[in-house]
Amino acid sequence: MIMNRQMKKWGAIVGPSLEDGAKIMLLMFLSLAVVIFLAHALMAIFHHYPLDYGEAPLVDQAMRLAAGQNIYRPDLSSPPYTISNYPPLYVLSLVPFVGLFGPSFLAGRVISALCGLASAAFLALIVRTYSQDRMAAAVTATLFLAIPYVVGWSPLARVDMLALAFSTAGLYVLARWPTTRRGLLIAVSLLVAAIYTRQSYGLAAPLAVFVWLWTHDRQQALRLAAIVGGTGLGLFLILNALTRGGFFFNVVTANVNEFDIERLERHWRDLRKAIPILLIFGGAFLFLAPRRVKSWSLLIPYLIGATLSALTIGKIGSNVNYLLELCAALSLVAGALVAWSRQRHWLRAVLLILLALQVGQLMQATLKGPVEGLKWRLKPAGALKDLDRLVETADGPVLADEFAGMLTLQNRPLYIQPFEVTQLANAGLWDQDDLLTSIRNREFPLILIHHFMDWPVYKERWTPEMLSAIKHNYEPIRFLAETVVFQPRGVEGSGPTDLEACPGAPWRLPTRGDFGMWWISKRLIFMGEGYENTVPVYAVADGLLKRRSDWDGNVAIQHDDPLRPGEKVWSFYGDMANGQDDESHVVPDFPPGSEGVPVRRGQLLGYQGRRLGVDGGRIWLHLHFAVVPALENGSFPDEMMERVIKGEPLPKGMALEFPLDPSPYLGTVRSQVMGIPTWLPWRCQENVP
Amino acid sequence: MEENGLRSSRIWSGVLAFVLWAGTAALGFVAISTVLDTALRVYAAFWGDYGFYGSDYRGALALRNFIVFSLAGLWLAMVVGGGEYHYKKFGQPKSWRLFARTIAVEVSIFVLALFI
Repeated sequence: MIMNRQMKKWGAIVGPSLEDGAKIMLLMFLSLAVVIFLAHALMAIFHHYPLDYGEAPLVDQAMRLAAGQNIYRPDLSSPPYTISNYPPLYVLSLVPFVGLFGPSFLAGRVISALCGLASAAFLALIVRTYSQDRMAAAVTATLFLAIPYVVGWSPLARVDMLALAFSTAGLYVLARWPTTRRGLLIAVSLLVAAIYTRQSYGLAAPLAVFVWLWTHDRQQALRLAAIVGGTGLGLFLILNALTRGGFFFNVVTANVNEFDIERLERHWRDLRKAIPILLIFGGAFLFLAPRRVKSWSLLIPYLIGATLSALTIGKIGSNVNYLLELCAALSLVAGALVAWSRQRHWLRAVLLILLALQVGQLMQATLKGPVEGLKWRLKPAGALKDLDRLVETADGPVLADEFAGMLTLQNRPLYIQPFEVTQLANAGLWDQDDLLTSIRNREFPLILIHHFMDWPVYKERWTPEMLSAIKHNYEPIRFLAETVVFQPRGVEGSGPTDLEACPGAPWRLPTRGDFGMWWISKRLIFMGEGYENTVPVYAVADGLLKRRSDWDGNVAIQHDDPLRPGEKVWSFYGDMANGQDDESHVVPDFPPGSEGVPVRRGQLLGYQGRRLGVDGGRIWLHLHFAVVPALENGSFPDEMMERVIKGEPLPKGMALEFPLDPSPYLGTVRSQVMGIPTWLPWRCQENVP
Repeated sequence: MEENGLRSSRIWSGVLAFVLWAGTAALGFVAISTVLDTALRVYAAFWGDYGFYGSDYRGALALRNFIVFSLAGLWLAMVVGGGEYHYKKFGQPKSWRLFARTIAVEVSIFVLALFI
């Protein structure tokens, strides 16, 4: 009896204490997550230069609107080749700031970040409204702000956060006042505003409020559908008539990009990795909530609608902004579950601990993802200023992709939005001939092509015809902030684009370096244009090939040294492999373990890969080329080359002699800077010594 | 017999309270360096990229000093103040609740360090 009493007493203490402890744990985690959100937002907001490809077009549109121009042009037969992908509300919100302070990204980013916070607040209010549970409301809001997609996207000058704020505000108003006429009118205005900020917001929230109202007052639900549909359609017809069909062309036609199932699968994998517990909660909620949770008729349709919207992330060019509504829906679900478990101490403790673990994972993903990405974006401050100055001094229209914002900041209109027109060209909806003629006529003093280290995004932003015209008529002169700066070639065919070998050089070129070359202590990294395993690599001269059994992507060829008669020299070709799964891009003629295989000058050895050194990281498409002196017996200096590749110090006095300077062999330009990796244009020397 | 049982339970409660107090004090001491590690990792994730002599390094040093002094003070307050509180409220739910909260905070610190 005493034991029983004691057990009950302990049970009564332990249950609430465990819940109390779990609550503290979750709140601690969420507090740190909010600090990370704010720190990231502040760093991003005050960065002067563009942070995302999509920022510049929106500020550009605000500049055009402020000047009284139509931003929804019905055809693109003449420049500017620009598209306004979204309805006008966000752009309109920028117009006063552009008018007063000139073009900048600050106002747009502040609006977005505040809208991110406002969305979190509205989500909390929704949970609070039906549960009266402050803890659940706080969890909903802060959990939303902890999700890396939200952290990364909130401070960008993009349309999404404003649309989400309108949409969640509409949800809140109808959750709070479902049956009043005033509530209905305010909610309709907010939902229509969300749709006229970003058209994809016409699904999840309207569907959710319709089902929610249907369970309360069917007439009210039908009224809502009629007013939202009528207002939305009416505004569409007016805007389309005013722009002579331009609104439809820009907002609908220009948005129908090709769907890539692999892209969807990749995002789904990332999502499962980043928010597994929230996804499980979402799935469980769909099945369990209808009988147990009061707010199911609002949350389940919202979750389903947001999931359907998220599926469109498979469109080429789409990004994690397609997941923001899903993040909001999953945060609401988590909040609803926390509220539902209020009277069940043990269950609530378990839920809170699981959520704390999820937040820990979210913070880790945020620091590795958006925070690391932002740091990389901010890091090349000097290079960004140089790029800015280059654009400033350019006399004439400049073509640019990722850093088109450099033009916008200088109050210059965009000439082209390369991604959008490339998609239109691919779909046969835009004729690129006039632009190609302008490129061939070298009408542009500069072309800036951003070259992301982890994926050749430029292949989606420029058509093959544009890239070919650029390669043949422009040469890369600088590499700044991961952007290759092209300027018109002086003389037709003067660069190596059309050459197999530089004039007067004893060896031919091993591969293409359309995006330039890195000089790293006398090794050359040729940056080719294209996808992995497509840019060929050739033997520079006749010789005997060796491929060690442990070389995935490397081969070496022994030659008679053309510059030191009577001696042997090796040409080394590295990184012809995939950095992820060790797939080799060396041709099958040279399997691992090959030794003394005769090869002819110009014989195909393999294709450029993305392997980074021996550790197998991934970087731009490239070939790692070096000229290596043979050992006394003519064999390949394995140990020394291994050290060079691993970046380990060479024996005293050897650093100057190993490897050899490749420029006298290939005739390419050389760096005067020793010890520091230097980017060089892919260019032949004028006089090969 | 019931009185004996109650006395025994009170003794065990006392032993448990002492062990919890000593345990939380020891864990709290270890947690100082864990908090330091976590905070510096977050700091490094945002700013730590510009080398040993850069302003980031000096920022990290200032952050470390601030954290060490603040947490040392907090730890002393927890050990002395907590001890006094548990002594006065011995056997009451309030005392156990404070233990639960202290342990929750300390466990949270260690779990957080697994993620960051």
